[in-house]
Amino acid sequence: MFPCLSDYVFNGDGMSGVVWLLGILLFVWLGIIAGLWLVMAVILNITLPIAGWWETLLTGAFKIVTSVVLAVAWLWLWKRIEYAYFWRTIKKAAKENT
Amino acid sequence: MFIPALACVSVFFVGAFVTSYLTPVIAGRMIKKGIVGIDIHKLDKPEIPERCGLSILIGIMASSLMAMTVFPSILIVSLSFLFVVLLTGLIGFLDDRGVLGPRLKPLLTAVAGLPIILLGTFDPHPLLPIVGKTRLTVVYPLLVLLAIAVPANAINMMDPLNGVMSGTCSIVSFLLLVCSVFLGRWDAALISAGLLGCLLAFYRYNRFPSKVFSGNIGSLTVGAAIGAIVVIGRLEAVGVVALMPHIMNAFYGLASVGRLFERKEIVSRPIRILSDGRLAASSDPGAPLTLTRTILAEGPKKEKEIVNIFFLLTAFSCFLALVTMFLTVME
Repeated sequence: MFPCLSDYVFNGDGMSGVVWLLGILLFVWLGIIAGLWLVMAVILNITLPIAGWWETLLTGAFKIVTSVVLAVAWLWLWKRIEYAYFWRTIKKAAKENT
Repeated sequence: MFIPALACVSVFFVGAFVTSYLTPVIAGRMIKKGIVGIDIHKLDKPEIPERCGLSILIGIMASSLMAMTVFPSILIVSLSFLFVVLLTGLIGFLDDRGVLGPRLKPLLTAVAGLPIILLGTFDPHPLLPIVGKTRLTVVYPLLVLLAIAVPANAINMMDPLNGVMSGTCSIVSFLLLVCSVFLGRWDAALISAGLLGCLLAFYRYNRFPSKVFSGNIGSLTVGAAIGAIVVIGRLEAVGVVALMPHIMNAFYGLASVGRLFERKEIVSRPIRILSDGRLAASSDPGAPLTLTRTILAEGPKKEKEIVNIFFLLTAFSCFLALVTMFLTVME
């Protein structure tokens, strides 16, 4: 009797694909929030326990490398999830058609 | 509060009126000159006038001039915004003529962010969720260039189906307007209102089935305008989250192709049209992975259904962006 979201989006088809995409969006968003907090509140406040003139240099390099590694790991995980979802769904759809 | 709100309404209507009036005029001129594109996702392959996004550029200029007239205090902010939009519009015009390559375009759109740096209409203390106010005095000018180049190119890449660019960007502009008003940043609110008016007016002609195509001149201009509003209104985190579907689409494309590319360079198309008019994802591993192809992974869909999913994803990311804004002001 009442129109629901799936009627509007899909004309009655299933919503699992959209739910997956919304889930990936949520994962990306949580990654942004958690990553920003980790970098700005934790990593940037780290000081390496080294004495000497290279302390500032090494601490700075450590902060940059750790932040970049964190960002790359997040992008890699995002790509893996997306690829896994896409190819699994494509194969499943092809199987159903045959 | 009443006067700036009234100014926002008037700027919105100026943008909407100018774009609404000019779009069919420009479309007529484009047809006469033979500047048309084929809507490849329709069975009858209709010819649609291209480069009609010029009306958005002129609409933004008119609404910005109105904003400057109503609020002379935002003259410098409006001027920097106007220069960014004009420069990106010029880049879009050159790209439509096929002059630019896939590497030169992002570089030039980054350079288009220079007016904001030169006129100093940015604050190098962005507010981030949970963390609060940060100090990025050295890095921030470089981030300004990225803040223009990334949305401009991401939105330029996500113009695959009828009404997707204008519709999703209308949702994002509305969110930026709401956030700017909530945070009392009236300069960004006025510019957002103008952009929203232009986009809604253009959407009337660009929605499914499209009567006009925006071309690179339209999509690059809109992307740069959103980037400039984000910087001017200090809505960095909100802007990134709101544009997540666009960034996702660009990221998937770059990750699957492995380099910057132009649409015409793609040999294997990511989607194909079926005999009943529905669109289906290509199962060719060599085809680039795009958001449209991901949406179609489950099975074939009508173009209108895919467009609705784009709107749903953008609305969801805008909801997350609103939560991000609250996480930002909580600090």
